[in-house]
Amino acid sequence: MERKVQTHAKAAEIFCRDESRVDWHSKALWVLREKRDRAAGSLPEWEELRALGSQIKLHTLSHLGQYLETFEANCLKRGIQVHWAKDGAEHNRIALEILRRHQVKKLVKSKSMLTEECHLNPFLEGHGIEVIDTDLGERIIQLNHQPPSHIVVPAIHMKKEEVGELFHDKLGTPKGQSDPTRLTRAARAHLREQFLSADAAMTGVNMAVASEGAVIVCTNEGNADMGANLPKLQLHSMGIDKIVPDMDSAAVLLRMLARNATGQPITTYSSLYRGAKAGGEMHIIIVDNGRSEMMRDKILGEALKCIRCGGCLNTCPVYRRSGGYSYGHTIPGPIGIAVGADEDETHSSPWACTLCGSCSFVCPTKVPLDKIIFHRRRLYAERGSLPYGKGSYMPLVGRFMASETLLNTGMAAARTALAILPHSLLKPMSGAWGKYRELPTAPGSSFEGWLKKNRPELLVKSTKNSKGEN
Amino acid sequence: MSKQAILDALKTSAMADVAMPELKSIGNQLSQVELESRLETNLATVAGKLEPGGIEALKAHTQSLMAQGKVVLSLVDGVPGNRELTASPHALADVDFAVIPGELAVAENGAVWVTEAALSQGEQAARIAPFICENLLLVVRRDAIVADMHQAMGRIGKLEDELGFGVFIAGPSKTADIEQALVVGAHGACSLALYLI
Repeated sequence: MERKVQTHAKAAEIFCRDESRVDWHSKALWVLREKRDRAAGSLPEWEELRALGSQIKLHTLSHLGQYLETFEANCLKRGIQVHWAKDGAEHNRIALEILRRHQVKKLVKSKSMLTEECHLNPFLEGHGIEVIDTDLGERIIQLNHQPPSHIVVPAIHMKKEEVGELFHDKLGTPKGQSDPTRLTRAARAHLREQFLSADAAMTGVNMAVASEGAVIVCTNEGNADMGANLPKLQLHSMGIDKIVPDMDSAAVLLRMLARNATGQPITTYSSLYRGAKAGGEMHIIIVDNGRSEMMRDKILGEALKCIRCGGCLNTCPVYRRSGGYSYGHTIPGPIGIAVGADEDETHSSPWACTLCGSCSFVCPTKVPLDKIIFHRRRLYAERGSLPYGKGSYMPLVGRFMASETLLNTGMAAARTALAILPHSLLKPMSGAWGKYRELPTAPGSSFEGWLKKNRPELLVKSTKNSKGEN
Repeated sequence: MSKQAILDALKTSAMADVAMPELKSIGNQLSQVELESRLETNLATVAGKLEPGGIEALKAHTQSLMAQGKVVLSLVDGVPGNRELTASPHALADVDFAVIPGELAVAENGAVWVTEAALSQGEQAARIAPFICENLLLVVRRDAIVADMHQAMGRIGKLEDELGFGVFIAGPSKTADIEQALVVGAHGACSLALYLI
């Protein structure tokens, strides 16, 4: 489904029209955050793991070329065929070429945000290959012609009644059935048929182990394994950032991935594929698609430490209350802004953030998300491409705030206005800020004025200090 | 050539050089009693079950399943089944219970490491076996329980040359994709029991 080009604020406004739904969405995600907190809290070494996870990823990224070459060499030793793709289009061409060579008509896919990023499904469908997403949430949104609204729980925006309606329509479940267990059983039966009749399987990759020439794929449903272990042909697509040096590094990340995502101690299946099954073929497509470019900026590059647990989405007050479809890119939420802001034609997504920093605190590999998002704003300002007309008024705001006289006069006028004018008159001037807020009661004086009057000795000292130290 | 283009692009990376951290010291040492009790608790949190009674209990269980007409595939020596592996992995879709040996069990999360070598019978091998069965019965040696994933990887170590596939399995397959309601039994096994021997 094509996304409409609109700013985050505009799209969020649409999502926010149904307030009870917003509350329901926010609460569902907060439950995940709470489960994550319990799981993280149960490990005394949690903070040590985060520090190690961050260091492992930073080390790997700083030697990425070497590790990719080691990984490829070890894969080749195992008979795995390795392909390199500069961008999404090349990835799709490679996949199509392999599938065509094997006369594949039906491909079962397990969840992969990378293939979403490359828009693989419509491409293959356009070439006559049927693509079946097999993760339950992914299948739901595929049947509903929607992209994922979350990277771990892709159908989090849908209510069970809506899924029931969809399944009634597409899978023939009884009308009005909305019990999650019954709906899941129906999907199991439907997808079992797909697995048994597929000609090839494709999965994403959670970790690519350089020392072993192996990929690790994590799922709870077993869809990656039901896919990859039946047909002769298996394909795995990975971003260049998925490399880990060895199995010990993988252990550190595996201990945190599921705990930080859903609060489980580990996903049901953590599968290591290190060669084709007897008589089969295994292919790995390594994709750059803008990642090496991000690494040319050392702040943006840290976003590639991400292991896609989705923890930052679950904690983000903006994501929880604006939904996954308000962002102009494939991956929503804080990590989406960090890695995908360039996809957003409106340049507005870095402002879908309060800079509260909660995301950075829950991140298992310490991706400095708030810092990256702030940096994204700066990059837009430097390129002269700020959104919402910020480019025209922000320089004025800057000049206003940089001048002590202007600022003091302006703030005094505002205090007087707040004190004597009716708020109904002033509120329209507060713009979006005042939409869901009351105007503040004006204090009698500025803080500086108060300080001058009550603690003049501090004022003198601090001025001296700041002059002395700066 | 895209490989060279990507490697060249990475040479212009701005990422500062960071040393690989030391990973050997992290993790816990636990007594056998603690290992078994944590394994039982954590297996329960992932919706699996630790069954008492060892190999004898397992044999009695599979006998009774077969008596009920269930299809039992056993890849564990000494535990009889009524189904053999065949050349077609698809044919295993009728297996009600698969009995499979695990190499080790991880106390911190209830995961059992199953390798390709265990998923074979004579000339036949089927990576699909632990996934396609309706129910999974795993068997692990009591002295092969480790405290955490660090120790698990320590035991697995540098992978054996012949290993092309291995999987940590923690409980039966599950999903919470519909309104966050946990449903056990997604695409893989709908139940999982572990027997220690």
